[in-house]
Amino acid sequence: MTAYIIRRLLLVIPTLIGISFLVFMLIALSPGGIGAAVRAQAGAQSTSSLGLQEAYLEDRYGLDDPVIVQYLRWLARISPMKFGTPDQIDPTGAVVRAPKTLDLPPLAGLWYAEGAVPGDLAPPDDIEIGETDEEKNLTYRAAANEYARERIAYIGASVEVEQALRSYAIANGMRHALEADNDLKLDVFKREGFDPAFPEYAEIVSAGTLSLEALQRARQSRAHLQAVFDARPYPRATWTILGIPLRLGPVHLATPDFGVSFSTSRPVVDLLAERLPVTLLLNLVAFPIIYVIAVPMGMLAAIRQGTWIDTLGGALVVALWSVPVVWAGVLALVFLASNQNLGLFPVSGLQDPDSSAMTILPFFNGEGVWQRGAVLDVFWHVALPVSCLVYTGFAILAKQTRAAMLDNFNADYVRTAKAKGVASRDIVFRHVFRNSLLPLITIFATLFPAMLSGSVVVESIFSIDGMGKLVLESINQRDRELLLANVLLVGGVNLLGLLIADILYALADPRISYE
Amino acid sequence: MESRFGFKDFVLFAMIVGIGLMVFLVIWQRDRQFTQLRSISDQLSQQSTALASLNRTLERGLVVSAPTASAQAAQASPSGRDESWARPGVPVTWPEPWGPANDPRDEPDFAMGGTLTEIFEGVPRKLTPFTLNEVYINRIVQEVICESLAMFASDTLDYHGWLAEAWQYDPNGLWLRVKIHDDARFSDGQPVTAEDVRFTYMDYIHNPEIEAQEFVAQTENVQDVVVVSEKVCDFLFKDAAFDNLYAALRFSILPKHYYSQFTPSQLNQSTGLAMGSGPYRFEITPSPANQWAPGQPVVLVRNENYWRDPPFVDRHRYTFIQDNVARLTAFDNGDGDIMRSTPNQTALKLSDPEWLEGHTARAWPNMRSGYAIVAFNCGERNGRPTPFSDKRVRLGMTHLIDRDRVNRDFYEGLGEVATGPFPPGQGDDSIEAWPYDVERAVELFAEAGWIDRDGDGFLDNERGDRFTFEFIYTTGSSIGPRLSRYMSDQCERVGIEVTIRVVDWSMLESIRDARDFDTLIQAWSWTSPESDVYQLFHSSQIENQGDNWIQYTNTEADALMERGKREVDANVRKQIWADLHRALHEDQPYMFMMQLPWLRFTSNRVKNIHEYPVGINKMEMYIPLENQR
Repeated sequence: MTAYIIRRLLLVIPTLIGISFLVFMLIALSPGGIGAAVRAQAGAQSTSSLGLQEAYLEDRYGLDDPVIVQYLRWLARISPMKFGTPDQIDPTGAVVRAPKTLDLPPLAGLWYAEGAVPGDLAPPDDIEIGETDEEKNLTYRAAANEYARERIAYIGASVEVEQALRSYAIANGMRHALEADNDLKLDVFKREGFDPAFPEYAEIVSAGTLSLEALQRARQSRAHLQAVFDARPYPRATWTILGIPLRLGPVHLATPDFGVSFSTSRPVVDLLAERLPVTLLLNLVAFPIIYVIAVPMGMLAAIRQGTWIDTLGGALVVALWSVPVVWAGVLALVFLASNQNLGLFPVSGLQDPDSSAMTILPFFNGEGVWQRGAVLDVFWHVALPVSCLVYTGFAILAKQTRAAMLDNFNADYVRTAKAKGVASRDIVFRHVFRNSLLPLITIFATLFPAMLSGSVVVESIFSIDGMGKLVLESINQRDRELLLANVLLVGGVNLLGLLIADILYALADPRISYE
Repeated sequence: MESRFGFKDFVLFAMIVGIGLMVFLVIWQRDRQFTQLRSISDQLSQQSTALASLNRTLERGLVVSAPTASAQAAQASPSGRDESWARPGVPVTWPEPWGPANDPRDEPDFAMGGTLTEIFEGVPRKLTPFTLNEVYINRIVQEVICESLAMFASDTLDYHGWLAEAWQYDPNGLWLRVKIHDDARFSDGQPVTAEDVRFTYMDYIHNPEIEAQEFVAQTENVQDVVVVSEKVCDFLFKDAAFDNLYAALRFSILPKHYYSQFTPSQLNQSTGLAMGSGPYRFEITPSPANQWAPGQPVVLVRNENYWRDPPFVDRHRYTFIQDNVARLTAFDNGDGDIMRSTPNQTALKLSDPEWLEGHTARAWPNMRSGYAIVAFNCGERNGRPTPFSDKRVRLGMTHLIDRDRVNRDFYEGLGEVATGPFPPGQGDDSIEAWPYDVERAVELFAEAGWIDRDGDGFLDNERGDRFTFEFIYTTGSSIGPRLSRYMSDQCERVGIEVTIRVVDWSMLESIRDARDFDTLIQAWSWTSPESDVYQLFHSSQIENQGDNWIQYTNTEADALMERGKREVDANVRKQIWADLHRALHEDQPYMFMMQLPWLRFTSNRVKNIHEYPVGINKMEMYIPLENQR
């Protein structure tokens, strides 16, 4: 059994890589590509420096590299096993990486500045970063800020070069060297060569010279920052056991990094940590309700097969199942939450705006007035959303239970037990029900991951910020890191759910064994 | 007998779990008491600091009346105020201090106190200033928690002084010297200094490590901020531009002593590090460990340290409800005092006298509302000119659409037919909108060469191409589906074939970059009383992925936009904008559909709500004693 579980767990890894690769490619190939919505947001602002903003975003998230490179980089970040220079952790807990390298401006050394393209600078070795942690921190912060400023200045300068190349192409009949959205096709430029006679060429040269100067400055500050980084101002991010770092040559173990969401520039993990508890709360209340109501209902329907209980119960759950949640949610809002009607429940949110001032536990205050307290307040708030989540769930479970029980009632062993004189109560609970558990376990395995993915409809109607809305937003915004983390989470839990179901099969049915 | 888990075991187990849970909850409750205690001691320590500084001032002695004749008198300006800080030779602007346009303090039922709740339609993703350009940050942070150097007067839209007491603007538009009010201080009692201004612009917004890219773009003309003295600083601009004053005066000034304690990554990842000199503040000064996070309501309390007259309402609360039905239900339940409504809701409630007794439905255009357009591709699409590259065709299209009817049917009659891209008051408001006139439209199409030559019911040009175009709207657009159907009906009446295409936002972006469209529907909103249309219509913005994605060129309009952008004198500029407005009206690079008003529902529990050209001013609202709860 243990070997089986370990094998299954190991299989999870390639499956997840496959899933993430597919999703990664889907986003990359979607119109506008990765981060398009982020750029669209920036564009809505209508500014002349749009080109610079775009270049900045591409630089920040590495969007200008080939997709495969981006995917591999992402994999390297989320893998706990890392290669190369270990990252460091600053006092605020943020990961500090080695400074990014600098690319040459477009066509440098080919169209202009031949032979004068400066090479990378070696980091100076006589660097003083200070004695105390505070001094080291200040030194690093200053160096990082300087490099960030020089780098952005250089990116701005190379955007100018691109603009000049574009003007050149447009003025000199090289439209085919531009993509439909005016991006440069550099290989066409390289192939066709330049004509210094055109007046636009001078612009390219002057912009190129300026950008190479900016590059030189950026390289200097990068070398400085690299030296400061190499002097280890902060402790390394490598995992340790009893103070010994888990590191062997270039390979080391460190916390996986799920990256930063494009749309909010917050760590993906923070966003998940914010939303996951909300969805879990809703579902942890909803699922027991579904099971506690639907399973006995199915059992009762099976025992009293063909009677009015069976018919009515069956009709009821199917009727509930067919009511759309969008409609039911709005009805619940208007009739149960609006003061113009019953006004029994709150309209939105998970807690009262003043709940932070409430006590946690309910009590009678000095004047004997009932105070519900923060815990009951949450339950009062989730009443309507949970109702909307559960009512559609009864049908499948109740019908499955009924069908499985009926199958077993007709089995030979039940007849034998009856003939032997076993009490009918024991037949139902100890024999038939236990043997009918398998389909219920299968359903659980599919429902369990759904608990984490949340429900967009219910969350939108009742203004609850759960996982459903987060996933939808991440798709709309093409927020790659966020979406991938969601996919990994839901995919991983799905696979785990299937594994748990398989283990439960073995527990519920001794005939199943994985030896 | 095998030992199995029986009912009694279960009861025991449940009891143990229950007791454990109760212990946990009790611990939690104690924890919360400590948090509250901490906030009280936090406030207490701030107050004792303030008291100590007061004591020191008292010990040093106060000057009750200033010496009359001294060096100051020599420097005194015609206005009788100290202008020794100013650069000689340039007149000093002493703006009116910003305050309520309608002061309610003489009303019989005026009272301080109460909680004002506004319901927003989306959850702000962050409240740390400048880290995201979202309407919520701007409304909560830039107007309530933080203050900028100046503010638009609610009624006249002139700059009124907020943190700034006075300023001097270079007649050539290259520098601005600002004098900060002597009394100005942040909510923790520290004074607002010129160094804070420099920090905000140069070390915060223009710090590439901080994610403030969109604000960098808005303030890119600010080259440097130079500290002259403790309360005086100079803004140096890259070149003269009409919105230099906006770039310098309308951005929140942040406390350096507070923000410099965080690393850029802490700021980027934060959700609610908002602190400033404004009339309201978070109850506990936010820190990375203890800050507002999305999903919670925003509750702000009055800043008791506020350096000007205290605001009237005790607390400002913001809740967030996305769903339209839920938002209105919550509002009707009394969970909110102000909310944004939809045109449908406004029309519905305006005809409900019972509802109107307790609430007010408002609709008015202002400097923050916007306009809806149908954008024409005035240039080439895939190497061939679109039908709309001819101005007569664009004009014909405008005549073909009954915009009054669009207003009536799609906007419940709440909008107003637009004539240009400017907010009310900026352009020439006397321009009459083009009428709905199908015959004139057909005439214009014929002038441009579009006549039904082969008798198949469709218009053709000389080459025999049929007049056909594509109409694009984005998913989620509320009027897109209906408007597109109405447009295609109208077009088919006169023999134009329309195909309709729905795309999502990120797709639209690449379509616009590639100029690969015929017409698309879009809405713009304004952010200030003077809207700069240079990016939208200037021909230099066509190439290089500029924002003139409609590829509109008009040398006369180009010249006007260039002059307007550089003109520092507001009166001269007014005439330029009016001329530009007329030129754009004649040319119709967009079909200017509708000026969209601001729609708001307000509760009559709150008094002194006025509809201003600036929007609404929450600082002058008050809640009478009997309405406070």
